[in-house]
Amino acid sequence: MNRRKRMMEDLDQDIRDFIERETQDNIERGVPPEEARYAALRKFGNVTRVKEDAREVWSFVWLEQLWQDVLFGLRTLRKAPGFTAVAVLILALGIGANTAMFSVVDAVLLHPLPYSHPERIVFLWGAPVIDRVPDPKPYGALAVAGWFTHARSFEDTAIYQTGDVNMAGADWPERVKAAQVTSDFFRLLGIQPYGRSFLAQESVPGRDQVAVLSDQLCRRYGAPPDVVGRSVLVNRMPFTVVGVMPAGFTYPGKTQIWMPLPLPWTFAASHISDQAIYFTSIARLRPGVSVEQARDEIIRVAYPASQENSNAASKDFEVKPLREALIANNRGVLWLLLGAVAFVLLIACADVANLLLGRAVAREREMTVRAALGASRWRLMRQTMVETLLLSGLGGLSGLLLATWSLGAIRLLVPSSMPLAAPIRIDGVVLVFTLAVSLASGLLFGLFPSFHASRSDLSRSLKEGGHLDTSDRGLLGHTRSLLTVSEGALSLVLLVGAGLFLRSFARLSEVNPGFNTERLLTAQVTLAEGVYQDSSKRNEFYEDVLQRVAALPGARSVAFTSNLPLSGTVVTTAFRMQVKEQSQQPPPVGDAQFALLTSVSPSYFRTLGIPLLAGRLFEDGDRDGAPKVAIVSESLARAYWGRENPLGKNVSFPGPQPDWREIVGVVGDTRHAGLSAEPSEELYLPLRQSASPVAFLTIRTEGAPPLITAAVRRAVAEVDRNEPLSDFLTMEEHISNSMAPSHFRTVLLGIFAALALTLAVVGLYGVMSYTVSRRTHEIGVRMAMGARPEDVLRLVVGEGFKLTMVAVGIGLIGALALVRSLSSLLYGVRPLDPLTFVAAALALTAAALLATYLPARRATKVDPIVALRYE
Amino acid sequence: MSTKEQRERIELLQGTLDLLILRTLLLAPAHGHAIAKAIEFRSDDVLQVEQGSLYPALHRLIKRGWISVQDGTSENNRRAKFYRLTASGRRQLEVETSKWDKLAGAIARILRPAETEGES
Repeated sequence: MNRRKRMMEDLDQDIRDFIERETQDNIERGVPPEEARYAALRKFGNVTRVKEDAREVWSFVWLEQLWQDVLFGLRTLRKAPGFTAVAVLILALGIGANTAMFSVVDAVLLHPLPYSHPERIVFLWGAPVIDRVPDPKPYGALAVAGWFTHARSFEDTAIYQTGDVNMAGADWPERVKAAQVTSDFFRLLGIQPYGRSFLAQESVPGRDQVAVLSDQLCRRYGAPPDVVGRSVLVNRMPFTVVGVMPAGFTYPGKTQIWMPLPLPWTFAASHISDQAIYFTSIARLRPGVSVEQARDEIIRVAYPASQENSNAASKDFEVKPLREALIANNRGVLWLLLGAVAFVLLIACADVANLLLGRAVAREREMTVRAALGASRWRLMRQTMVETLLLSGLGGLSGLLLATWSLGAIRLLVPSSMPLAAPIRIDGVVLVFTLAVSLASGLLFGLFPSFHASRSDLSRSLKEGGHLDTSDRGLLGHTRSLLTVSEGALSLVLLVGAGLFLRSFARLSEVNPGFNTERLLTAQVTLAEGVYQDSSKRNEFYEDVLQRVAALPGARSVAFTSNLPLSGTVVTTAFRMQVKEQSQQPPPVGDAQFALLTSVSPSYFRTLGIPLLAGRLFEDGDRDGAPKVAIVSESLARAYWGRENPLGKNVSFPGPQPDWREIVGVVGDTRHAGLSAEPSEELYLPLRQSASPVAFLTIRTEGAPPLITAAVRRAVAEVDRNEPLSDFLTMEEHISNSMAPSHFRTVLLGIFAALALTLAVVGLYGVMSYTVSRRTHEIGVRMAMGARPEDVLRLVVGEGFKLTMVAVGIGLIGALALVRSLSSLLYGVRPLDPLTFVAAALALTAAALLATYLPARRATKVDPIVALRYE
Repeated sequence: MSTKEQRERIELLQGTLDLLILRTLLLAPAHGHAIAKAIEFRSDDVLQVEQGSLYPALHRLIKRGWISVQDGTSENNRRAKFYRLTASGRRQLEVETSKWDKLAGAIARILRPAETEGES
């Protein structure tokens, strides 16, 4: 830069020198002195131009010109604050919504899982049927581990099972999510705990009382260095803490404590049924091995004999990339929402393009003058592009701010079932996305005006004093109409989508879950295996708690159940069940049926408000020793006995000994898996004849349920200080949790559709206002010729209406084509729901009419005299 | 300027001016005006140096390091900027000259095949 300055000073001196010499030469040639200098100057030519050209040698010209363009662009934008504010706001909404949505997509779908080489980790679930396994014994992990040793697809494998454990808390014992894992688990994921992970010899029963804590759990006891080596009580047994995981690591699920999986692993009842070995594991594929190859191999190894039935066999194993397993069915929804928000951005771009086109007409004269002064077409186009990129840059920055502000709300909205590979935040990837989106939208909306600017005809434009003739206005008008129609059509597609989601959400909220959901407090208890081994001890606990809680003021009715409808954490122990015919033989395995098996205390049906349809409810007398009884749900009765009366029929579970129970009642259906799921076919047993260690306490309260939470905790602590109640939630909270995914997509798509509609209407309003101001003269003439205000109103509104109808037409076609992809996300409403389509079309039309009515009314106020003078 | 003059003048090809400046400076350092005059004089006024291109060309050559500029005193005791050929400029002149010779020869062979054959 300094050198350049010196060179330019030298140049000045040199040019002066040159001109003096030339003058001198001229004088010597006999030219009169006063003319000699002019002749010299004339010969030299444009001094400034020469200086500019010499300066270019020393500078990055394009950079400087760009800088000039930027400064000029900023000045131009500042001179039109209204335009700038509206354009930046529109872009900020479009880009901000996209940034926010993308930050969710990034956190769930794109961000690599925080494990080493996560692309090679697969989730492996199996339920191999015992008949097909050649030597299933010893059952469980050893058999599975044996298959893994034979399967060459895997570099590393780790089996795990999850559950809850009790740990001492500050006031009350707490339920903590736990996982039992084989010793390779942490190494496989590539995450090392502070301290150490498990040793192979710690997978032996008796030596397995070691634990690794999550960072969050560890903090309750102290800093990791102080906690490692200490002993903690897990289910009342001392475990030595050998390691602490880094913050944020909670795989699988939201695990807080990891313990070795004892081998040989005798499966607990929930992991081995009469028919199959269930296991869950993760494995690291060898490089170059595909998921399909791995699945084929594990089936081949586990079922060496059964080549013929590979179709059925493949159902028993599931091998998926870990990411796929975690994301489950969330992928489609997220891409759908990202697509929807891209529509919003397109509409915003069309809006700004429209605004810029309107301005381009106003700036026609400026551009013409600049062209006349020698600005090249390229330079003019570049100037316009720079201005639009400035706008998009400002829009992007503001959008980023909007997105940052909205992240808090979005984090709350994201359902907990959506697995996050990373926290939802604006990180580098999101910033790059925002930058790219801003640039792309700048290019998109800048395309029209800069093309227009470069195309303008110099002389004609100057002659007309900046006014366009009809043909040109026609072309420009076409572009603007096209943009407006596209905006309307796009927003209609979003409106239809949002409408369908809204209807579906409303339908879902109206679903009768089969019981009364008001003022129902629920909590979970899992009795420690060692202490409550005996079912009579469990029953004592349950009876005692029921008595104490029922005595609390504010508790109207209290019950225990092993399965709580809509809780999301249903213990779904599916059992096979047969109907007793004449024979007393154990029923054959073949014609069994799966049903949800629920143990309840007698007061359960009354507490939840589940209606009795036939027979009787459980009574206090239905206990051990008394005849075994069962109650069936309406749908189970229908599925099994059809029109026959199920009362008095007998059912049993498969096994060596028949275990006959008489059906004494039929109750109404309840929905367990969610409001959108079919009612479960449910078989109820009296808690006193089948006391499960896991139970939900349900309390119908007099007042607001949270009021008695503390009293309930105290009452349970009086029975057993060490058995904590966890997950105190009202039924309404369970329901809103179960509706969270639907809520998430409905709210987001609703916001996007509202944004889209607003932007489209703003666009239409802009175009109509522009049309009216352009046609002031014409309208004035019409009114001078006797047109009434209604005629003018009809004229203008009619034009807007025409555009709207085209938009509605195209939008409906687009929606028809796109809604089919929504069908899996809808409940109780068909994708082609006519009501939604009509309502969306009407909403767009009404909003559009409003947007045209306002400018139209202004048109009727035109004073013919003023209008005629206007030109 | 008359039309005749214009016809006789030849506009310099891109890059040719650079070559001529280097060649001019080979004899002795010179100031801008002298360079222009020298080129015009030595081409019998066929080549006219546009000042509009002379100075940018000089600066281009300085930037590439082929010539340098320094203060000096001219024949009539006036201070002026003198342009001087550098060592690398000298080498460049050789390269450019041989390139030019090849180009000129090639064009000449195409334009007047018989003559060139006769001459060579």
